[in-house]
Amino acid sequence: MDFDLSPEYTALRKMIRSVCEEEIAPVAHKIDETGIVERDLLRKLGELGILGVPFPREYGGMGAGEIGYCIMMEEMNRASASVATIVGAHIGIGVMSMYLDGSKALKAKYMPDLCSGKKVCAFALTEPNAGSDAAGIQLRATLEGDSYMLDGQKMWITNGPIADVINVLAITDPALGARGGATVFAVESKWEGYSTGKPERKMGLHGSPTSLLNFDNVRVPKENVIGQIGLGFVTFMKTLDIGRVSLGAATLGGAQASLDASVRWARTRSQYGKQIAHNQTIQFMLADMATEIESLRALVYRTAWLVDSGKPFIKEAGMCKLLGSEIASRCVDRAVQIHGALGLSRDFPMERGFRDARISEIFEGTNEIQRIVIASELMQEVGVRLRP
Amino acid sequence: MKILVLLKNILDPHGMMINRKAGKVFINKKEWLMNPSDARALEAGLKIKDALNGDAVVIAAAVGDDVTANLLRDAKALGVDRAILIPSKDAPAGRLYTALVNHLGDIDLILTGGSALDTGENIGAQIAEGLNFAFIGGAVKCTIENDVVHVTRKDDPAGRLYNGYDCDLPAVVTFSREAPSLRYAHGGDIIIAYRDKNAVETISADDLGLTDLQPIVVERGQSTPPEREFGKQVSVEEVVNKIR
Repeated sequence: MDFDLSPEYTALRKMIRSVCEEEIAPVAHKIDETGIVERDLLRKLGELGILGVPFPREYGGMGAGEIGYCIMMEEMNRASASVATIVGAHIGIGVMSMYLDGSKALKAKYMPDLCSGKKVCAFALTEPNAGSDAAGIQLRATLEGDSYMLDGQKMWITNGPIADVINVLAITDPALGARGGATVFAVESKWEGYSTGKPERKMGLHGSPTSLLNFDNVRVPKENVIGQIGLGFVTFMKTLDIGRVSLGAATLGGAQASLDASVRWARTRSQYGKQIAHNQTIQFMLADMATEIESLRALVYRTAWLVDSGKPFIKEAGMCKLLGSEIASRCVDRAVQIHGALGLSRDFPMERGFRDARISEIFEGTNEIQRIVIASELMQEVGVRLRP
Repeated sequence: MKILVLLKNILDPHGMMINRKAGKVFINKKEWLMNPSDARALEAGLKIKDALNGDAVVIAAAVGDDVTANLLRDAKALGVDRAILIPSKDAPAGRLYTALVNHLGDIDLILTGGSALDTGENIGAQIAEGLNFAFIGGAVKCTIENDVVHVTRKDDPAGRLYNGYDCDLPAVVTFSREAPSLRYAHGGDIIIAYRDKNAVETISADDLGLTDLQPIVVERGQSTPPEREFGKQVSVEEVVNKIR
């Protein structure tokens, strides 16, 4: 039994940490204020393989597996949650859905550009009337000759306004509905009939653009079908299962950033003639944060190891997302408390961290949905199938 | 064109705390990093290779143990053609490197850092002396044209004056910490360099034909200088009177 990262992952973490500290952290505040992540930054990340961490090198990826991907998400979220969300939605659910079930030709066509940062990917599932009830989607795809016509809307799509390739789930057989009658399509943003709404104004993640997508009879060639016709829902659920692990890793980075800042502040800030670290009330908060973070780290990297070694991981992946998002929110809350009034200042990173942390309890399946996933996996182990 | 880059790994100074009163260095976090000026030398070597469109062999070498092997793997991930480890604990690196250059043969250019951050050692000058190569120290930029080395060096501490120096090959150039910093390696190359068991070659002192490696200088111990006493505060009149 060995709980240490192997040397290649330690070296990878060192490289990614210096990229994040030197290229991303200095502009994180500006990204939050302006809401813009420069395409050059993404291209730079792409050149280092960071936009294709879990994918094999033949598709332009890094070949570092889920463990490498979790390391990257942790380090990136430590620097900027906005950039981490763009990258996470791009790799973890966007390109991942294409990688899991896409045909070889489709992967060869899109993945090198996506992994090198020339193109950005998005994953479109949520609709105005289908949130947690993902099976309630209505976006329709009808066969016309040798291509499909997509008609409908998607909502709350991360990377929507900047995406070049969008993997969309659409209903191909209304009689069967989402389960058995839905298919995934890779849609290019330059195709006729596709348009995006204006970016949503959110509480946090200001640099990660989210918007509505309009499909007004977009013609999609048959080659751009990802996976089998009718089994799109399975592809998407599979993608989300894996995505939860890296999302847990991202929340781990956010929580770690809160702890690092709190430790620094406890050392520098003096009250009553001594560093505030000497107060037990501060010590208890720091100790609680560190304990929770360490437990999350153990869970996340063990789950990543399960994924890489081909073992079942759905229950643990749900736990990563559930525990991670709650720990991140609690840690950043304590960090704000330790920083006092400065924790509320927009000139200090804690305020941004507080706003950015909240969304993790909502996106990629709310925490309530995660509990349902974990419970149904638990019951399945004793032979009981829970109904959705 | 054969370029040899000499690297050293040092303990990250951020992980240390010096207690002057106790006369001790406490290591809180044992992390290793490439000596900063060596990293700049490596970047210069890779830049020369890029400028020659890859028509150069860059060899990285280091003296040390398994931790140093990881430093060489990092260099390999950055695009170095060969990485050579000379396993040794406290043999004088200058003599090992001199023997290595003779062992490898036809090395045109040797690049290394101006000084080691931990010991302050200047290995470049030692090797140039031992091999009778030309030597230029403190470089911020180094290019090669028609077998002539052009080096830019900051000769004025205020940073207003840069001088250019040329010399013929073979030469040793050492780099200042103000030279351009090291590029990032592609993540995939890091994974490959670390998973490849043969990424780092090992050449021992025996292979180099060195048997007697007793250091010329023996270290007896380390101590911090005594605390200085505060001087006396004097008024202007007292100074004037003293001068009179």
